[in-house]
Amino acid sequence: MKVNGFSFRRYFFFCLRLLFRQRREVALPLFFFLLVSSLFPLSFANHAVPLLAPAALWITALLSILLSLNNLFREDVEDGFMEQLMVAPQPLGGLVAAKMLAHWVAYILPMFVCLPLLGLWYNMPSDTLFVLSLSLLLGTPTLLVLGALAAALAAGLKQGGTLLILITLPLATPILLFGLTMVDMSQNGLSYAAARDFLAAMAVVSIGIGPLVTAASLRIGMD
Amino acid sequence: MIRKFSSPKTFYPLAGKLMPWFFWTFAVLGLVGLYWGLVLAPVDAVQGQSYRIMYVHVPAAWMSMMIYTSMTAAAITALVWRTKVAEYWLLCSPGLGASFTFITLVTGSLWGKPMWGTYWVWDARLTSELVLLFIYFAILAMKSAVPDRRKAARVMAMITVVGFVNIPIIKFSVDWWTTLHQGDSIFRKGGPSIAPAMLVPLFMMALSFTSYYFWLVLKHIRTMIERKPV
Amino acid sequence: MTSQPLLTVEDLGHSYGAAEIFSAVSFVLAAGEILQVTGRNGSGKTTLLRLIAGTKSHDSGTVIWHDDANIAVLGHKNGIKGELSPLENLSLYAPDAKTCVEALSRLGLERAHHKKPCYMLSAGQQRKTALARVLLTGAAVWLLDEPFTALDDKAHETVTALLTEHARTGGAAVVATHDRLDLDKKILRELVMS
Repeated sequence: MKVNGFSFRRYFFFCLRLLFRQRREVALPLFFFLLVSSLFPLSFANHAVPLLAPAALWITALLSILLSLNNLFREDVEDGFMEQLMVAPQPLGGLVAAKMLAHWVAYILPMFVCLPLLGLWYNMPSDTLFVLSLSLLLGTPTLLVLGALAAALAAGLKQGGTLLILITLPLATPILLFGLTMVDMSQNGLSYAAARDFLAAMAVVSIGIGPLVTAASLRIGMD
Repeated sequence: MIRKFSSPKTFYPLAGKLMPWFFWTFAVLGLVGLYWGLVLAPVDAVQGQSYRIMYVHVPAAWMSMMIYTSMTAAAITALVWRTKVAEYWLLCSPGLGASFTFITLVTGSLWGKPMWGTYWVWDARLTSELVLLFIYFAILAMKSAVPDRRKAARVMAMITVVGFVNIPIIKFSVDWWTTLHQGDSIFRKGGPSIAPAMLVPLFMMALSFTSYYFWLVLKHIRTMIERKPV
Repeated sequence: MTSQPLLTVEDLGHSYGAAEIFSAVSFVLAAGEILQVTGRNGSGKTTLLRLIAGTKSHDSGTVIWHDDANIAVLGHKNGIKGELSPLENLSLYAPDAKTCVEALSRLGLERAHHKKPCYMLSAGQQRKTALARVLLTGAAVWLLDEPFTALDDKAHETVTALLTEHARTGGAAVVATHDRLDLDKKILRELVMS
């Protein structure tokens, strides 16, 4: 019998197309990111800006990613699409992975495009900006997985958005600190390789088991 | 084996038999330990009287982690075997865990004031204890957000397990981050050895707190079993 | 007509907290059969379908799928994306547009609507899109929850005809509905939830 269903690739492009149609909403967390990022240099004393810039950008990025994750599964649960994913012949973990990748491309990639502009606002030296971008790049997969996990568990709950932030923030502490350690060390002329490798290792583990754990969480959250 | 022990039918009478033991261990060791620690134990050469808060602080800190570990064991059991008793265990533990963590933080701050001259430092131990409190809060928030009890237990189980994997990483990251900024650590590595006369009441208090936890958990689980006939 | 069983449900029960919804539901679904599930509101028809589909875990009884048959599910909610057109929605289930157009046309959705975003369509037209998806999955077993909601008489007949055809070609379905299913007695079976 012919088995139809969605492959990873097909579902990935389906998600991208949908996100493109929803681009006005998709842009909101990015605006949030830019807006809050502009508040920091505005409100700090001039001499404090270079000192606080990495932390300010990291925390802002963290919050806007969590903001974006609010909609990762919520809409699918509300319109009944999640049910279709769950009964699809393909393993749910793979579909979740495709969805998360599309989410990364639509919500998180644009943040990186904006980083040079923010570097200007913060008068950040280019090598600091590079290390900061690298730390964010390595940190986002784990953040995305932790947030997706929480979003899956909170799927279908009324206060889902707040719960998502409440669950993810404490768990995300090490990502934030490893990322800042990287920037800090490079600013002090030290080798940041160790912190970078930690973040990279966590990213690899997150990408490896994250979708499976998220799929398992979805089954619990949808129950 | 696990199934047999954890079926509510077996668990209920067993818990009933164990409860008085835990209660009396808690009560007797607690009273003796407190009296010994607060009155009989010698004054510390360096810290004077203020070290006595240790008799609450250290056992509470131990409980904050022991409860989380027991929750993780219950979480894995609940996720893999869907055992009811493990779910109940998970449902009634985080409140107690959060309380002990809170006590740890408060007593630690009170102890910190005379010792370091400040109530709070962003030290690795304090920070990870604070993060642990936040994780407890997250678990409790999920408990109240999910109306169905069994589903709530499994949602909590998932967060518990992920948190358990994360806790050592949190500790390590904070440790690393703070040593970058503060030069030398506030806590002396190794530290002076404690006189046995101070140590014995400490163990008594730890055992008393542990018994208190088990007594309460068993009590709660029994109530939950009673509420819903098996 | 005796054919191999696709699905065996034994002694299935479910409760929300202490409130029992239903218990001891048992049936065997074989190829070529349409099982109609009826019962008053709140008797657990939707829950039963979700338990069978595996999107909800059951606490007593067993659900056995024989030789992992693929399933297609149509719930209360259509599971289609409002920002995408019917064709775009269905593109997930069949790669070529032609098959999708065919499926939509069989359900009686006019071509003019195939490329409009679904949020611009009526409830009935959206339901038709969701039903077209059921066709496209090519699944052996359909689990349909109130499939006739928002459908006009003509579409109602079409769905009945599709069910007959599905059963004749070796498929099976579980349909929860209050409507009378106008099907051949040989393929129609009934389960009353109480």
